[in-house]
Amino acid sequence: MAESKPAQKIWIRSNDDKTFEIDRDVGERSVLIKNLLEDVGDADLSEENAIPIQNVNETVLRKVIEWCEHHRNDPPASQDEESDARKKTTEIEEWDQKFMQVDQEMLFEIILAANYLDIKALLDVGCKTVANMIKGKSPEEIRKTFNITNDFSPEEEEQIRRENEWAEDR
Amino acid sequence: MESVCTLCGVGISFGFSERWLREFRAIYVQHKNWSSVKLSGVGIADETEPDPVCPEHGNQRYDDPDLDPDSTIFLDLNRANLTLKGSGVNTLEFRGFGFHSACWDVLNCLFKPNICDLFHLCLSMPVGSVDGIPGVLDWSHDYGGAAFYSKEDVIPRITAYYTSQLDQLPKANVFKADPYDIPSLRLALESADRFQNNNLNHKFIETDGDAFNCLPPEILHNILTSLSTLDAMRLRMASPAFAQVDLQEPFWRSRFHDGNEFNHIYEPSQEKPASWKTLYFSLRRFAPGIPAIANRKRIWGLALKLQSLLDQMKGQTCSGELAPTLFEAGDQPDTTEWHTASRCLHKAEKSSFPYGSRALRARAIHTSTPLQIIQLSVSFIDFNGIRLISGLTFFPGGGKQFRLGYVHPNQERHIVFSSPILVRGWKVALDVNGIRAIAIITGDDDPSTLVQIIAWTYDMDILTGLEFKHLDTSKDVLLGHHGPFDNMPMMRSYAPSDDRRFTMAIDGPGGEAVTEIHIKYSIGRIYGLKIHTNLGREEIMYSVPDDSSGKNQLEWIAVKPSGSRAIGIFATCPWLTVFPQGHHLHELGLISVNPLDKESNIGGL
Repeated sequence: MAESKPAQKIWIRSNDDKTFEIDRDVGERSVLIKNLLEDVGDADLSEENAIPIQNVNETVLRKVIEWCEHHRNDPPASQDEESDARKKTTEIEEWDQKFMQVDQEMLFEIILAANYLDIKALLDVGCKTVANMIKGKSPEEIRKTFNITNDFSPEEEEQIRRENEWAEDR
Repeated sequence: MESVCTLCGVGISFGFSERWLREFRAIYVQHKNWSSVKLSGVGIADETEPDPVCPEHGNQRYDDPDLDPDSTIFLDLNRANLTLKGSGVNTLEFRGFGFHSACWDVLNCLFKPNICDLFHLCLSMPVGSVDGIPGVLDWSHDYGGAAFYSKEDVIPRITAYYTSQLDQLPKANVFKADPYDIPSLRLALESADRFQNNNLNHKFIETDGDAFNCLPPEILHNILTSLSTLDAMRLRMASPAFAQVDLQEPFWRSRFHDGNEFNHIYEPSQEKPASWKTLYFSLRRFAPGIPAIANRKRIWGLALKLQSLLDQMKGQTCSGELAPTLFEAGDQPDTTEWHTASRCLHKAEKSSFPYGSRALRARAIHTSTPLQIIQLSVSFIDFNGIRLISGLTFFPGGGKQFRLGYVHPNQERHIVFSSPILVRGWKVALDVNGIRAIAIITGDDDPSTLVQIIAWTYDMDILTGLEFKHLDTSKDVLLGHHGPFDNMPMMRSYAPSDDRRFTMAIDGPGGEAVTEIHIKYSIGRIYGLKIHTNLGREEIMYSVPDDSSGKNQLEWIAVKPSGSRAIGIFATCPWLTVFPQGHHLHELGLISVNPLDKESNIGGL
């Protein structure tokens, strides 16, 4: 039986200087890291020369790595974009639902990190999580859920209402 | 020929002038080769042929000039009774379920059904009818108004409209509009770039007090795209950050995806419009006035329901030891004598049935000793909005388990017992389409805490509810409905009318138990109730008043338990699905058990 090759390691560093050693295939869930690795070349990979992840702090990066590890063997996204999109729903698989049970600030941080690191599947899960928090709620309930101050002037409110009245149920 | 489309519920009939309502396909089997299901070609309803005739193969059409007449077949469509003969002298060789060709095409735009699963699903469905038109299947919906539930029967019965009746319906123009080929939709697609864009200029709105301010516009847009149009609008009303996002083409395109308002318009995914936004607004404006689009929407919704059922069937096998049925013969004849509770479950070849389901498969588990379990897991399926029980898993301990029926690990409820319990039988709540609830009759079922029975009657004398009060109030049971009955959807025949409550004390702790009940029964209603106990007591709880209706002349009918000891009473409520606010009790029976060393069973009227 062929001996399985040990996973190649890479190092990434958060913006608060915490270095993480991770398997290359875990890191490559991020298109940003994948592209950087191609640019850097294997010879220059080392703990001392960790890839800086400038916009993400240690706590959030740890969380993102956890997600990437769980999804390291996911098949690539379907190429049939339209057919895939037609079936698009806000359903989230159970593990991801639990993963996303974090406070709102962390949720937004994960979304921003997924956006920066270009991890489309994680970004989708984050956006769907927010969407599920909004579904079926009135504007007032949405404001309460996300602690939004109602700063609209009466004119602005009327303008927004007019702009969106096409969406009213008929 | 006349039949009814399995998907849309409208007739397949030569009586229609619309060609699409005459063109049909079928999924069918030859003789009883249940596992070899085929798709026919497109045939046409013809007044010269009493039985449906169509090309044998899916790639053929009746109007192909090269069609070999020998490759056409006569079909027995949507029969309630598998042995029922066709209109000819002999039973037809081919039997199946018909679809308008257009409806089949719409269904296939949504998903490619496994025709074997689809055939088996159809075969088990209740088959309603209208004179001369067999075979409207009861999927627990009224086909978006294209059929109706007959209220003349004790159990709701799905009924299709005559071809001529359909014209009298307010939505006749919708039901008769071709859902597949919609020329006006093609026109809307072609001209989607010619409408004016209605971009609106935003004034800058302050977003400081908005948590979403931290997210860039493309992420906000992504979130909006995940939402229904109404939710997206409400979000924009709530959040200044979202209010200022310009809605781009991906948002408008997503309005044509699953769960959104134009999910039934699939053409743009095949032939992309120049502008999704323009197409969206043109359809918002024009679609409500186009009957074919309304019919497409109706049929798409029905197809989604069918897809959900087939998805739940995918890859599932029926667990347990095979007990032979007509559908699955098995190697050995089943000689076991079963006590079955089957309000509307019919044997596979029983005479035609307008309600309930056809029993295709039977499974059993055999154990060498009476079954004791530490856990029971109950599996469910969602049947068009109704949750039905599909399978059971028994855990006797020691890591063993026995599965029975269709087990869905993702849709299971686990009931863990603090100590092993003996399964002696079952109490089941039967809906027309299946089992809604199930309870184990255990070795511990003990009626000795029963202290009072309360009977509720509507309009003086119609039994509507029974309450059983126990020393341990957690065991109290209500069958049917208790008064007052302000919203009961039944006529009152007494003036003045009154709803009444009758009570009878039972000395359960002193050893008294119900042994028999006697009722006065007429045409699905109970007009009197008498209780017999083991202490020789015989008490009339109520009886119809002495009046001119003649109902007081009704004889008492004894309802005795099949087993040696009655442990409960069951009732049927025929109209619960249609009138959830309440209706009368239709039938009463006794739940009983035998001594521990014998089988438990259920008896009743």
